[in-house]
Amino acid sequence: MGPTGDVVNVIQIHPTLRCNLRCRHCYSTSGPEQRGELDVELLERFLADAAGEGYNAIGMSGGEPLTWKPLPRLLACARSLGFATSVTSNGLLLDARRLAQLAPHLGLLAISLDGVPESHNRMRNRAHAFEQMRARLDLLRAAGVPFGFIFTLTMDNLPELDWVAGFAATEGARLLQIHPLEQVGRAREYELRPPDDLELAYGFLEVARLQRQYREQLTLQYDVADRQLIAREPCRAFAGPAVAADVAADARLAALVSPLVVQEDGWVVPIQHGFATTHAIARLDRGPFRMQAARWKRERYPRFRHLAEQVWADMRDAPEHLPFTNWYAAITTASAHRPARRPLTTPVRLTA
Amino acid sequence: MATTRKITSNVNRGSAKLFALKPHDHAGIAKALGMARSDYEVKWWWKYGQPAIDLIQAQLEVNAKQLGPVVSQLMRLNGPTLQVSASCFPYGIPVPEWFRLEVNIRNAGR
Repeated sequence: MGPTGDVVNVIQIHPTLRCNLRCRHCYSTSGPEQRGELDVELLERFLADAAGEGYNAIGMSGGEPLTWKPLPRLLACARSLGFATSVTSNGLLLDARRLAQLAPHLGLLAISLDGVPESHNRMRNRAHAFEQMRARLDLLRAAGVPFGFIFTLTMDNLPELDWVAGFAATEGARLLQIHPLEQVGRAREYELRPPDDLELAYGFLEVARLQRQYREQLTLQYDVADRQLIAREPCRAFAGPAVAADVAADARLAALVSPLVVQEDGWVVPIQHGFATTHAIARLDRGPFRMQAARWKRERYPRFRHLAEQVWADMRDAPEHLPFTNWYAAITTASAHRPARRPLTTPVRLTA
Repeated sequence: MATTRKITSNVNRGSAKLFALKPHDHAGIAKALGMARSDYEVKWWWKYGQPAIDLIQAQLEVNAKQLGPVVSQLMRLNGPTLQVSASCFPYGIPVPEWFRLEVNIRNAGR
């Protein structure tokens, strides 16, 4: 079990980094100049194997996934395999034709919203990006597609969350997610400041207040790791007792690592885009995923667990006024810096 | 390598415009967090570009002998945050040998 719990086992797919925008905070440095894209047949074969490994939800991201033509086909394939489906989009390319293609296969559309209109347009590097996005919400409502908004929290934009929550509730969104900015990709070029753990603590107070205010209309989700929760359930951060090698080899991959991320370069890595490929599970062009996954369980899973245990050991002790942190950023950064070593803990067997 | 970010109090914070609490008032912040925790809990955490999923639909093929234990296990997931429902379709004539289970798991906690 990982950070998304033991029921939802997620694969995030970045089929392309092509995007109609060039946002300042983009962690994958996506933009109009990007040309490469993944082959849909490779992805379909991958999904069939991944379903057998216990994954049950996909999130399409990018780049802007609406620029990837096979998107409806892949969503249909995913649905036929039993996956829940979601797409994250800037919303500007939505039109009636695209929605008609997507709606039958789409569980949730998440639209990025970075603050009040002026802030949103600045972050999106596009005048009127907000107004253009808002003009398309009528299409979503008419098509009956459930939608939500994703807000990126920086060091200085917490006061705008109140406006964002009000806007989301008024527009009929079901979900508002609040993610901490990650200082990678273009966010580093623009020197945007991610929230530190103190600002995450303040953010929690504001999210709790807004959830009370919009209790009946909107679900707010704050995407930070809670040290108390991990201390109670270390498996949420892949820490705690390791799984015996023979048990891991027989387990379904989703029981060992989730989320998975399929990058635009074909690498399948744990946890997050940009995770070090020394921990990669597979590459789509190197044969059946199930075979590569079996090899990863045998050879690389212990190193992944060791990395996760070290990250948790580094972050577990914090003062009482700093209970939250960005675990995804921590483990992704650590994956690139730590030498891969054998685990030190005594393996134990999984129990039913 | 420490993974906890360094805290700096002399920066412009968005929170400075919202809260009367000062960054150095650690006891005050901890008390406010404790009170807020009674209303709001971080149960899962996702990441940018990956919206939370609140409904899982799955199809399982279950051997007749395993049907009871599997359904019991699924139903035990039911609780304040998860709502589980399942439909069962028998296959095999005259005695069903296996069953197709269609399972819906809705996360009511979100």
